[in-house]
Parts: sequence; C-alpha cells; structure tokens
Amino acid sequence: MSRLILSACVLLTASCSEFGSFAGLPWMDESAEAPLVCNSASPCPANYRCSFGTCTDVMQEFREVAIAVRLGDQVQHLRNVDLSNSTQFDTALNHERIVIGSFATSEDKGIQAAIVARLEEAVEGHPVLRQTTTDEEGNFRLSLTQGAVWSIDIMPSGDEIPAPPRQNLRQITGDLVESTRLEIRVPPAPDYPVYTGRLTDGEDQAVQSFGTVPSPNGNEPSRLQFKVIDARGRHIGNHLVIDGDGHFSFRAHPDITEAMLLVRGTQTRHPAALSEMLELSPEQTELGEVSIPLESGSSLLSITTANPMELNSMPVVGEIRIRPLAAQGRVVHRIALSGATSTQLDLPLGHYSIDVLPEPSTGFAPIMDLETEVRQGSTNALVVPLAPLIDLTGRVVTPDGSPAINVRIVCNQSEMVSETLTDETGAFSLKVQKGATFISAIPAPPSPRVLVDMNLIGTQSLNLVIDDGIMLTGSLMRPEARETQGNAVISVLAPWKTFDGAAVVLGETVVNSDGMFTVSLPPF
Amino acid sequence: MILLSTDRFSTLAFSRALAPKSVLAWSLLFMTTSCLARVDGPIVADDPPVVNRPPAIVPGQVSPPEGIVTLNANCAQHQFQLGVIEEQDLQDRIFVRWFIDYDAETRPFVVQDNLLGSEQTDTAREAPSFILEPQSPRQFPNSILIAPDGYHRLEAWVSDRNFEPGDPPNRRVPDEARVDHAWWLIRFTQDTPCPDGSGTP
Repeated sequence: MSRLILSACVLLTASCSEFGSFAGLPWMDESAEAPLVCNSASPCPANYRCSFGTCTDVMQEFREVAIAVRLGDQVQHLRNVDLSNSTQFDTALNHERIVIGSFATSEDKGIQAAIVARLEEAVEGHPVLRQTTTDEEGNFRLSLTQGAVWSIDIMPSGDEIPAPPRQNLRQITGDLVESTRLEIRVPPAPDYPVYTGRLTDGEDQAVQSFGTVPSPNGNEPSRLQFKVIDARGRHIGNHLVIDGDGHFSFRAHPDITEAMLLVRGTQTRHPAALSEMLELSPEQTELGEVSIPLESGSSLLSITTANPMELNSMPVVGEIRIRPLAAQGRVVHRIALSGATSTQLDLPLGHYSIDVLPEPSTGFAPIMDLETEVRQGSTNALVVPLAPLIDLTGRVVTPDGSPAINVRIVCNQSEMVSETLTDETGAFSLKVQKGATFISAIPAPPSPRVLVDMNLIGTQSLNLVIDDGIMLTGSLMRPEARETQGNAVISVLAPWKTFDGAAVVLGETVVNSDGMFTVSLPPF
Repeated sequence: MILLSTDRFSTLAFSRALAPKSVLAWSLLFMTTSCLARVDGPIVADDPPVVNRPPAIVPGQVSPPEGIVTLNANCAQHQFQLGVIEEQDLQDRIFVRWFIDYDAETRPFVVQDNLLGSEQTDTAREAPSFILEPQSPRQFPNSILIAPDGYHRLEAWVSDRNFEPGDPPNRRVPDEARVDHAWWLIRFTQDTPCPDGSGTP
C-alpha cells in the first residue's frame, strides 16, 4: 500500500508540473485508497495493472469478457468468453428456434396480449428482448435462441384477464411447433380472486380525493388512475374499481403473491403515491385499510433558474423532471423548461425530487435531485442556481507519441452524452458536467479504445495514450456451420465493469463478408 | 546510339553527314509531341479527379427495420440502431444527424449528432444508435400523437462531409458530399410491449 501511495504522490507531482496546479485534478477529493490514473506513459506500480485508466490489483480473478452479436433485431450473448489462453475466437451463432404458441383461458378462449421474451442471462445493462403480440385467437410466434433461458411476460390487452406471473422457458432444443407448441393457459375471467380494501391517506383518513381531479379550465374532470403493479412495475391487476371514499377492488392471477397499489394522474397537478408491498392470497382477499402517502390539496410551485455568473444571455431552455417522492420513483413528469421566465406548476402537496436539465447548447449543466416540499398556503419557490458546463480537453497520442487524428471521443455522464473528434494535433475539447464520467476514445482500427472511468470535479485536461492492447480475431459462422455470417456487429463487453448500470463496451467491430472479424481490446 | 559507337572518325563523319537531318528529325518529333500534347493531354493525369463514394446504411442491420414501427407511448425509452454503415472511402469522416418530425420551417432541429472517425481499415463501420423517449419534451415538445390521430417521423441522415449552414437548415451538405438516410414512421399506441427496464414512468 505504501508503494501505491508513493506512486500516487509521484504521479500527482508529475501531473502538477504538466497542468500547472493541483486544482481540478479528478482524484483530489478522493482518499488515498482511490485508484491511480494510469496509461502506457504512466504505468502502474508492481502488482497492479492498468485497466480503464486506473491501476487494478493483478491478484484479482482473471476477467472474462462477454460477446454480443447483433444481426438486425436479433442479439445473442456469449458469456464467460475466456481470453486467457488464446485471442482467437471462432464461434457459430446459436440456432434461432421458432416458438409457436397460444395464450388462452382453460376454456380455450383466445386472449389478445403483448408478449415480451427476455433472455435471463443477458449481460447487465444490455437486455436481449424478443417481442410480439397475439392475434385475435391468442396465437403468437416468437424467435428464441436455442439453449438459453427465456422469461416470458404476458400483458393482456383488454380488461378481462389479469396478467399471469412471469414464466420461464428453458433449454429449447428445436422449433416449438404443432405438437410441441407453447400453450399458456389461464383461468377464465370469473375464476380470479377479487381483492378488496380501503385506501387511507397519510393521516389514516379515508382518501377522499380519489374519484376525480378538478379541471382548471372547466372541462369534465378527469379520473385518477389506480394501478396494481409488482416489484418490476408490471401491471398485474384488472377490473380496478375505486370510489370517492377510497374503497377499492381488483382482480389478480391466483399465483401472484405480492402487489403494490399506485395512484397517479397524467399531469403534474394530479397526485401520485405508492403503497407498501401487499401480500396477496386467494384465501384472504380482504386487504383491509391500505395506507398510501397521499395528501389532499395543492399549491403553486415556482421554479426559477438563476444565472449567477451571467454566463450568457441565451434563454435557458430544456426539461424539468418532477418525481413525487410518495410514488417512489414510479411516476416521472417531464415538462419543458421555458426560457427566460419562471415555470409555474400547480402541484399536489408533498415532497418532490426535481431535476433541471438545460439543453447542452445553453452551456449549463444538469442539476439533479433537488428535493423540495410543496406546502399549503402561499406560492412555493424553488430557485435553481445554474452552473456552467465545464471544459474537458485533452490530447490523444499513439504509443510512439504522435497525435492520433480523428479519434472519436464519447463522454458518457448522467443525463449527458457528448462526443467529438480529435483534430490534426490529436486534441479534443468538450463541454461536460461534473461528476461520474466514462470516457471512450475510439480510434480507427486496429487501435484499441482508451477507456477512462473518472469523477470530474472541475475543468480537466487529459492525456490519453492508445495502448497496444489485445487483438481478438475470430470467425463467425451461421448455426449450420457451413456458411459464414458477415455484417454482424460484434461487441465485446466487460461484465465486471459497469457504468450507469450497463457493462462497458471494450470494443466493437463488424464481421467481414468472409465471416472473419478482428477487434482490438484495451489492456484489461 | 549503337551506330554512333563504332570509331571516332566514322562517328564524326556520320554526325556531320546526318546532323542537319537529325536536327530536323528531332525537331519534327518534338513538334509532333507538342501538338499531340495540346490536343490529347497527358495519358496519366497528375491530379486525377477524386470520386467520392457514398456512405450506405446496410439495410439488414437497421433495427427496428425501416418503415412503420408501432411503439408503446407509455414506455420510457425505445432504441433505434443504424447497425452498420458501409463507406468505401476509408479516410472519410461520417456525420450522422437524427431528426424527429423534421420540417425545414417549423422544426429543423437536430435531436442528436454523431461523429465517426476516419482512416478505417475496413469499409464497414459500426453505426450509432438513438434513444427515443416518448415523454421527453425535448424530443416531442408538443407531446406525442397517439395513432390513429397522428404519427411521428424519425430520420437519421448520414453524410460523408460535415453539414453546413444553409437550406434546408441542419441538413445542407457541400456539393461533393454523399448522403444516405434511414427513416421510421412511428405509430404510438398504448398496448404494445415495453422494452426491458423502460416501463411506465
């Protein structure tokens, strides 16, 4: 550890001489345990390797990659691809199998529904989905990859049948047609348990404001929406009824064991709240009083953007996102941020999390998670001091130190993706926000990407050196293994390294018409 | 040259005898060459004209396939992928612009810009994608239209030269540029499936 800290000091000193001062260095607000910035010009100390621009302990288990192959709408994932012994990877696509099925009641009455099949072992943040809808007789057709585990969600279109629980389809070895077709059967409409109860508000009073929401322009008042959802947000209840006194009833599939009640409207002035998780059992359908953190009444909230630095005179336009905390993230209202004037909103009483997202062209950074309370009485005011975007500049050079020209620089951040190309000196410049940042410098093949994961706390200048990396070559065949498969897009993913909830892309390439591919990977 | 290499005298004699004719012959040859040069030009041009070959979006890799696409208006996000762009000129940079409901007068805005670098080793390049957000006031400032009351149009324009100011706004390219584009006519409904992780907000 002492060697690590010593190396950090050396690197910091070197960096200061280069950049002129300590201010703005990304690791200054971090502890001594923070990983060191590294590249081929500034290598890591012994027992550490440079990975994503930071020094990583070599004693960590060897990292396997995942490979995503995309052909039009169809994606296949190959997990646990071990490159420790060879960087040659010859593979064949798995068979895509036809799955013919039907969704009907046990009395053979077809049900119209949307069907989503989801690959269970997909790499994090890179979902693999196949979707379809049934016809009027409830028949559907899907194409699913052989050998994989697929979960199937069924969302009936009408209000007659509630959604069944998620189903799994394992190890398909051939087309599922005719005698092997997939038959999904659910009870007929009268056979579902009807759950009843009464919603009470935060003060254990019956919720009175349910039935309708007054319309400010005198039109017919609109009804609030009452939904029954599971932990994933799927709608699992139907025949939803609620009266002005808070009495509700709904039906759900008998195998559904948990649900939450969500109340929401379509506009910001409509209240929104979510109940705790309720246990469902066909033997006990009376749910009693269910508390929902809903407050009656509303008040005005004025959102004003302040430009203390008077960065420019452009009107600040963009977007405001409003999340009622009572809805626990299940409801997000998105409205336009109007330029020059404050935004006036009539909001139900309660607490909110508010994001203000100016257009990047205004030069201002997004401001996230402003918590505010809308109280009864006078106008509530939220003044949002805007902060300018900061400069991220840098230079990309090849291993021999010459400028890397036309390298694509993609900067991923929360709510912002910026990109540019390096100029003839290898330099680039971007306007970005502070905070977690993942930078991908994507040179032309055969050079590998330079990937840097960092926390920006101020204006920053980077020197990125393209390393030699690892050259992964291979071939891609069709499932029959007689023909090659060209034009597929191959993405090499790092399941052990995520940013913003998705596995990082180490490299991408397009398979040649002869089925051969080559993709350069950064050292990892 | 071989005739002139026998001996000195014979060479001199040969030279003196043939000198006037030789000069005449060389002069004629030069004149002929000059005349030909003026009429036909050089056989190999010093600066051959550069043919800019166009970028091409590979149709089979566009996802969802171009044309009418039905999407759930309540889903948070939908991904559109161009997949692969073929560009024979390896040194060309590729500029991609995405438009929603483009109208040169009322809605000329670019909703996303992408840049792909040059000096590739292969003609096929992995193309960028676009995340469509039905609830975004930036992408749909007048909110979305639900079918059959209306449709929306998403377009991706791919150029091998940078876009420049002028008409049509945000789509004008230099004369030498070559352009390809993909389009989707989006039909929003309430009952189609939502992609994973993008359920009702």
